[in-house]
Amino acid sequence: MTEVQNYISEGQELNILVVDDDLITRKTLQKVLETSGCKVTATASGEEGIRLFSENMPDMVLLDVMMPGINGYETCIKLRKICHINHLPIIMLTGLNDVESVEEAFQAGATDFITKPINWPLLIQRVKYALRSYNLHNELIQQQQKIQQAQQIARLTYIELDETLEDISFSEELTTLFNIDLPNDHCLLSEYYDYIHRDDQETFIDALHHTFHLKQDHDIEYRLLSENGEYLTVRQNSTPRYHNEQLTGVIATLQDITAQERIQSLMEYRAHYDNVTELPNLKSLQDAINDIVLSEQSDSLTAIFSIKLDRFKVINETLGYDIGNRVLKILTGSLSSFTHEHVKLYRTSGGSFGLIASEQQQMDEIIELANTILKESLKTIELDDHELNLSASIGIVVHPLENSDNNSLIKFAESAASLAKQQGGNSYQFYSAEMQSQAQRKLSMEAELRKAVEQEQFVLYYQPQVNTNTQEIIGMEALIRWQHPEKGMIPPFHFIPIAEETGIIKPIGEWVLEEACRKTQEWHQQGHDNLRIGINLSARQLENDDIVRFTKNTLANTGINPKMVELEVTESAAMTDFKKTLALLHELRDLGITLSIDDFGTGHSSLSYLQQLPVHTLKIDRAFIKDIGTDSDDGTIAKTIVAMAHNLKLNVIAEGIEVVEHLQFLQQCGCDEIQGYLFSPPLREEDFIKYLIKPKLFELPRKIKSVS
Amino acid sequence: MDNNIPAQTLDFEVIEGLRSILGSDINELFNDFLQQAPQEISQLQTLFQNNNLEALSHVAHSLKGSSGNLGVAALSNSCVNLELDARDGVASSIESHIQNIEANFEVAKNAILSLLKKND
Repeated sequence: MTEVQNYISEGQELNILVVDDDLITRKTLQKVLETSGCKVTATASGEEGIRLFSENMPDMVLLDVMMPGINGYETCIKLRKICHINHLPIIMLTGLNDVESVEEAFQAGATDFITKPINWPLLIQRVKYALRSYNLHNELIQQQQKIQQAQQIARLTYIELDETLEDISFSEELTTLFNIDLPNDHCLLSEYYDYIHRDDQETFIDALHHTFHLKQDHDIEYRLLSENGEYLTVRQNSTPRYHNEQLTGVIATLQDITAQERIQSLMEYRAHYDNVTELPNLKSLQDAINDIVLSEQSDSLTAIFSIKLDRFKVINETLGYDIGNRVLKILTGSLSSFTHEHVKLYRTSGGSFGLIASEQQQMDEIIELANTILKESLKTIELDDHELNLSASIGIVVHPLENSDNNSLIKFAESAASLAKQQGGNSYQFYSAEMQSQAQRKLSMEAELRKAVEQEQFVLYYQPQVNTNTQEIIGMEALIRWQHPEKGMIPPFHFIPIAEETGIIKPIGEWVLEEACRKTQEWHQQGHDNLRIGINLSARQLENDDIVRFTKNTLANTGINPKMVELEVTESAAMTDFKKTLALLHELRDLGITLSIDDFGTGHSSLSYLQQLPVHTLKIDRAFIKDIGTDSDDGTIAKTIVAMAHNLKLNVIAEGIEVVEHLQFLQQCGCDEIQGYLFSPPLREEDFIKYLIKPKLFELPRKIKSVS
Repeated sequence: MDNNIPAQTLDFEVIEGLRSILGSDINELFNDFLQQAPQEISQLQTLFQNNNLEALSHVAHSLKGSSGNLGVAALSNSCVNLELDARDGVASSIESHIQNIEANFEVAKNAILSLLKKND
């Protein structure tokens, strides 16, 4: 490798254009440069030189001054115009070693000059030098570009002030970065100052004076009005500027931190506000209650409400979070309508809201508020073809009647709300110490229930169902009991609500279905093949279509005739999400089983809904039976239900038949089937078999049955 | 250095400088020069007879350059006077300048030829 080549990067050949009218000189230049490792294009005229330059884009030009046609100076000027690299080396060869021609060469844009006669070894040194400075220049430009890019990314720029603190100079990026209109690189301080927010101008001036006179760094932030009318937040770090240890002014770096600030404040907002409803969140509620607890005001009451949307979990799980969120927004809209200075609403989690009602004078006011919320929450809304019946449960704790830290107060309100929910929802409940122990009992029961599922501590009882007219046994309802190893037999109403709440109902329900089908099939095989088994489904089991698959498998596994299986669904379970339940019930019926509506008359289903359900049987709630024959009830409701059901071509069964008058009455109004203690309490399987063999019969005066 | 050649005829600093770079390739350039210079000198005479002083100045400039760059110093120097006087229109001295150039070329030619011989 030759000398010149050492200065150009590997794999790159240095291209030199030589323009000289004298053949011998041109040839000598070419030979010398080629021997040094360059690629040379040589020509005799300026015009041809310009053409070759555009064509070859050389790395360097050697240009004779005195030439026929356009001379070297004019050629140089033209080359500079077409060359996009400002610092590309152009070396002029001049025979005139006077100041004027050298000056003229530089003015024409030459990088360097060489006098004739040419000192050849020196020529090579000059070319090397030009090349080295060209490369350095390139590197410098690249570095500057990198720094500029970095500054642009960091949205960083600077200003400098002289010792008068009146003139300001700055990098070009300042105006583009901040979108302000200032002359290219310097102006009066006042021109920049005018862009600063009025309230921040003093801070800005103070910072500069502080930096200059106290010779100390000074950091400030201020707002700058950009040309598009937006305020930017600028962080400025100013430091004294020295030249040869002499204080000469102030230099300050400026950074546009608008975006960072926005993110910061957004993060702060998100830490305190819920992003679905835009209500303040649990953290905000805790803070607010903390303030109340610490203020120790006792001349007024503060009520803390936990408002839980009933069945919200079901909505989320079956219809998706999108619908769930929309429900929350709708409810937020309704509840926000009565918030004001002393009534604040929060969203705490899932389907739960928090509310603080401060400055309350009497419990009456709090109760009124609770009722208003219940009324606002109780509504039917339609979302994407889903008709949702909303209601809420409210738990209330009143400070300072209950005094504790903020988190405990929230927990008290929440457990009161859970109790209200457990008792059917759409109601409020005040927190009390009694609730506390109840909550603890509930917790331990939950643990015991899980164990009971594992250890199969449940047994099924069967209550016979009979034809009202013939008193023949047509089937039985399977009823669960918990055979607790220490506490003995526990009736369902003691543990089913907790099982429902905790989801343990699902494995329990499945066990019941399987066990009832298995046992019934056994009896069918023993010859009692006209027995229909009624099995209760929990609302929780209707939350997804697992139940369809499970029922299908159970029918197959036990081999039972599907016609003899009747699944009972409570009216309120069916109405929670009517359309969804409707689809599910159709799928179940398609398995060949029959369906019945349990506890009919207690919910709020309308006749039009009832008509659409694919059910076979209507079960009249015991509440409409128990007083029949007494002075308070003439049986009108029961009679009406039977008539209505027959109009809808439904089979009707009444439960809670305890006395012979009930039987008589139901026979008279044409109720198809009955079930109750009059015939038999729920029986263990071995007792049920005995009853089958020897059932009770009642002698009644003959009556012609009215046919539906 | 060859003592038979007058010191001012050839500038050996220039020639050695060039040789240090090109080695024996320098001979080719001298041969080219020995061919081109007589042509330019006869051009000078024609232009003088046609009284075209401007073109004459350019040719003198060119000869000054090529000879100077190859270290043919005396010839190059004599071209300087011709170039300037022709440019400035001093017609009276032109003829003697051309004669000077011719003489200097003859001396230089011998010196170059002996240099080339030596290089072989």
